[in-house]
Amino acid sequence: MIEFREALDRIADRVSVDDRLTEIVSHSPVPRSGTKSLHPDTDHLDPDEQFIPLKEMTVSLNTPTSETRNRRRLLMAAAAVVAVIGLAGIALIYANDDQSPSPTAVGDGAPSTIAASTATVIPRTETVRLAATGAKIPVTLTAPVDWIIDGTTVHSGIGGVGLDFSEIANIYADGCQWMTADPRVGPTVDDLASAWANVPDVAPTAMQDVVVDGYHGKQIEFTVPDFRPGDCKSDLFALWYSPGDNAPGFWLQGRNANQHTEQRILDVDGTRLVISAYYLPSSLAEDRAALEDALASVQIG
Amino acid sequence: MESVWPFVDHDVAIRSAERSLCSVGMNVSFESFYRAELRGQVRRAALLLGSATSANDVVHDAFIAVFQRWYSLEDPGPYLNRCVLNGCRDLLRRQRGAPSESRPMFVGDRADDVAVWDGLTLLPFRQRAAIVMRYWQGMKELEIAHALGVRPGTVGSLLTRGRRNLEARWGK
Repeated sequence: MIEFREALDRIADRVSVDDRLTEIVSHSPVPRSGTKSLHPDTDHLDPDEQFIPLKEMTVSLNTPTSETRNRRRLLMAAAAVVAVIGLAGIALIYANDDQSPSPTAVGDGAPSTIAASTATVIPRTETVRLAATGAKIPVTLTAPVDWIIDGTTVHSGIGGVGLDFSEIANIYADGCQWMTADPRVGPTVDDLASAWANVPDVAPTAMQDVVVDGYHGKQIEFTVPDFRPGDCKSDLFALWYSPGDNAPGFWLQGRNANQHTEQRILDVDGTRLVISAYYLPSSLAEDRAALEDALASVQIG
Repeated sequence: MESVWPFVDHDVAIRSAERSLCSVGMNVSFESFYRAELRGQVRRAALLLGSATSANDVVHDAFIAVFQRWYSLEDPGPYLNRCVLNGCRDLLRRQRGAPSESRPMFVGDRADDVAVWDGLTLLPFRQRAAIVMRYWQGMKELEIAHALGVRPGTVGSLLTRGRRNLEARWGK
């Protein structure tokens, strides 16, 4: 027997609710003669003491990127109930190994002084740890609380943005018909970065040097062409597949026409780790901003 | 077999009373209206959208629309309802085709919750909204019709089809 309403109550209870009253009242209403105060209960207060929008309460983590971004992330961490989630490695997941660790939330180190002064703050982000990525290298990042963890991908669901942490065995020379590159892509960072130049359908950019959390590599960007339903095999434009897969295992990669991907290909102590940040033309600005913040928070190892 | 569909009971009466408090419009400040409506609106939007972030955005866009018309609205509650539901529907339309098959973290891992969530996500938007408003919020069919912008008779049909779809999935 499924208790429908009780289940919805439990689900709804876990939804975080923002307070953005000050943001709303910054929009002027159409006045009427003899109007009254919009918020008489609080007009006597100092405006600075009334309602503090969450967006002003962002602070940051210690990361090696720009100072501005660090401050922002520390504030976000202070405004959040930070959890660390351990995930089984993709190999363990696909092997259905019962010993694989399930996602686990534990307390964080959010500064207690800040937490004490922000009792009404609703958690917006959490720290997510992928115990083993596709390249079997653990990573940690901070993402909005309602993002979804799918194996080695952390994404926004309907927002259409996300981050994937993979090893790449080979790419598709013809993504529409799922024809793999032949010969197969070599094992180095440069091998993969230069291989994308042979896939003109995705309009790859020139490779650039990049550093993520102290690890060097190459960055390249590409865009899934504007294919229509029925144009491509299984309505998916395949981009790459991981070791052990015989098909594009990361299905999100080519599901949507015009999906844009920023791929950072890193050499992590001799192992090639590929971080793919993707979004859609229709993705909202705030989802894109959250993606950038998540990307900037990535810590490897 | 006992019905899984809840009867209108004490909890529902309380929710209705809360809505009535909100619907007195000009007799309360915008702040009071905001405080009374915010939580329920965001939670309902999250149940429809599968994202707390998007739900907060849609609901606050709707509050802005209400605030800008605060002095001309006789009854802001139904107007807010309509704005939120339109916002949810428009957002889902814009994002059609984006990956959405996974569960948001707020669903948790309890079996009943997962089953209910998975069932809801299979429903077309109007069926899902009608089911949530009737059986979670306890709204009357006339209120649901106004919120969805459909004829009252259509609500009954949406609820019947929604229930049938969910029961087919749950095997009841």
